[in-house]
Amino acid sequence: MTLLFPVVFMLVFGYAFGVGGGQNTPYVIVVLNNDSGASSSIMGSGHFNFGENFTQVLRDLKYENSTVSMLTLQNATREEALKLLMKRSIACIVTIPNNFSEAMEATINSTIRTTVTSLVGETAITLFQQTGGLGNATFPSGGMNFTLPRNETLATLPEAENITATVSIEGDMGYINFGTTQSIIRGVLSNYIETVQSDAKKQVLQAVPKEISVGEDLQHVSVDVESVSGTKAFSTFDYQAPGIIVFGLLMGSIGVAAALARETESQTLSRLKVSLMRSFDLLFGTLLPWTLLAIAQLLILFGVALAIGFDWVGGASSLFIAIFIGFIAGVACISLGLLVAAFSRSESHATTLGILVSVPLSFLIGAFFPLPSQSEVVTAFLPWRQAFTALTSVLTYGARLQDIMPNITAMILETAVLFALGVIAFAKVRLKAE
Amino acid sequence: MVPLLRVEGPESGSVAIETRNLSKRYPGGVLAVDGLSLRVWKGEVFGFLGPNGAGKTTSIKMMVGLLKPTSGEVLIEGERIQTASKRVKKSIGVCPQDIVVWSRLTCMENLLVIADMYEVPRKVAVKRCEKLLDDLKLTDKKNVLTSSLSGGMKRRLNVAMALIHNPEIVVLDEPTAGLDPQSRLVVTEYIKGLKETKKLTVILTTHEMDIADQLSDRVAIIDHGKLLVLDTPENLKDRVGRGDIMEMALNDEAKNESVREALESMEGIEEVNETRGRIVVRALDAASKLPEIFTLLESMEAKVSNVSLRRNSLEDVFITLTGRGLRE
Repeated sequence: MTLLFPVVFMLVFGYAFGVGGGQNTPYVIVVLNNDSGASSSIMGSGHFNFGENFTQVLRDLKYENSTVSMLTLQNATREEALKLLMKRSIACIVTIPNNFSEAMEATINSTIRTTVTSLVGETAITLFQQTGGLGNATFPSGGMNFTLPRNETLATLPEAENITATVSIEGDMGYINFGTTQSIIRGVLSNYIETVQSDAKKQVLQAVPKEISVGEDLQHVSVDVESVSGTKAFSTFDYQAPGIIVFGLLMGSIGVAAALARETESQTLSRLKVSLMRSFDLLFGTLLPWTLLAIAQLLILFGVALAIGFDWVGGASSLFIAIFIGFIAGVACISLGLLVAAFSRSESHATTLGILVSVPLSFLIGAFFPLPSQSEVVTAFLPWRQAFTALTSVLTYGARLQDIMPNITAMILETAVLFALGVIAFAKVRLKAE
Repeated sequence: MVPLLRVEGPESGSVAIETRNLSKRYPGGVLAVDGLSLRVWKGEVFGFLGPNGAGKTTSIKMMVGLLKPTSGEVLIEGERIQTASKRVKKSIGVCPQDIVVWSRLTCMENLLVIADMYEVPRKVAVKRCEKLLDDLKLTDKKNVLTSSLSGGMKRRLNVAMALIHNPEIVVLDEPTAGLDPQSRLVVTEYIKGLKETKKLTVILTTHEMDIADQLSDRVAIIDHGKLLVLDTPENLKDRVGRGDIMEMALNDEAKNESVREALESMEGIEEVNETRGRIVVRALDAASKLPEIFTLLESMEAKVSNVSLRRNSLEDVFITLTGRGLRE
């Protein structure tokens, strides 16, 4: 058992950190393209929309040396997207502002102007243009083509307009997938702008082949990373707290198992076995004090969390609902302890076995790391998963009691089944004549 | 080893516990009890003796229903122990070999827990607790945590816990093991009382032969899981050899053999053995034979360095039946 423990522990951590799988999975995001596009001589006569182009770039993004897309773009309105974000069904919402194309055009203009002035100086611009300037240079950039003007006056050379656009990336700060995707999208946007600027510079330099040092480009597009509305004040701990609470309760099952195994080891159980005691008497008798202890544990867990700055949604009512959820989870943990005790020969054996069961369970229910959605099919049968979901919904997203009733009902049923299993197993293995 | 004379003891009264061809083979193949058949009469003190690993505790555990026999059965007042009624289960009290108490409870609380488990009404239980604590000299420790009691006190409490529900049959597995002389006296006197005043059936396992001899109406000796003999202590001692035992050591051990042969030919001498350099003589009324024995020794110029005289005991029976080899 002692040797098995680190093996299982390593497997669980390995799974949690994605080792061994080797498969890249796309992150689901919602892109809200509000870009109204732009019409400009520099882009030819037509209307163009950099927002659409950037969206396509995100859609086409692939993992390195792989055909697997990095991002899956889900269609949704902003309201729908926010709901999906609450449920962590999507990693983030990317909002492209309505002046994104104008800002990109301003980026190109300022790049051209900066490049040309670096080459000939502001005072020689007129002469430069009278001699033919850059000619008809075509700029392919991100699938967009734009053409530089020819034989124009200084006034027609693109002006660096003072336009700025901010691409917003919203998400759950406590969700690891948000951290990953916002980083990817910021990188992609930065690369996209650099490519556009680089293409513009190349065309200018092809027309005037001279070694120059190009000055600093003006920034017209920026990125703003935001947490979802109403959760701005939340820290990572606030998101992790429900998981930590469930983990703490699960650890309590080790105490139950150890206490019952102690009865076996010290032979007091034998003394009880020859009496008129029924298995239900012993196990219900165990359940009562440990339930009180679990409540105390729960209050301590909440107390400590609040003391170190735990922030939650919904005021005192949410806290009371959470304590109720924790109480049921506590009973489920005691039932688990009975089950562990049934297969433990001694206190130390029960402790090891208890750790071996409860720690991986904490990971399986997603108390520390989000798990693939497929795993929910299995973990839905675990009361602690229901407890974790219900606690997160109440404390983090402000869900009301009626919203989490399905979770609570499932928890109660699953706990009753677990307790019955614990009683049967303990009675069969420990309370019968050997 | 002497040949077995008989296994069944004197028949009397009604049966409290009966084992029929009881066997227990542990996983791994060890046969701890092999076809044990015996009857314990109501109201008797039944001594159960045997060397370590002989199968005593395994037999006891099967008798009280803690262990499932591999074959055979145990009947308590005619009911099989495995399916015994509440009444029959309530009629048995068990004092295990190890001290089994809840160390975080007081003496009183320990007794009350067991009383609750046997459905003794609380008022009755409290009175019984006080009486038991008084009888076993634990009254001043009534509200003391058992973790702070001495070993002797814990063992006395261990005995009390077997009796709190007023059982008709009490199984005491080594109740005096490791006790100081005072505690030993308290426990043996209490067991005597159980027999004399309460008329309880007591099954007693012990290594202390004098206690078994003193307390038991009948004694069963088992070894290697098999019942060797079952009879009253007096009959057992008679079977091994009547009379007293005289042990002596000679200054010159080289003369042991010739002295042994000379003693064997003396009239009234039942048996002479040499054990660990000492000559062991069994004779009826050995004290009256002493002058004759010493005259013989003098004529053989054998000088005695040490001599002792004692009554034949259960220990002699035990050693004769089970041998001198150490177990475990």
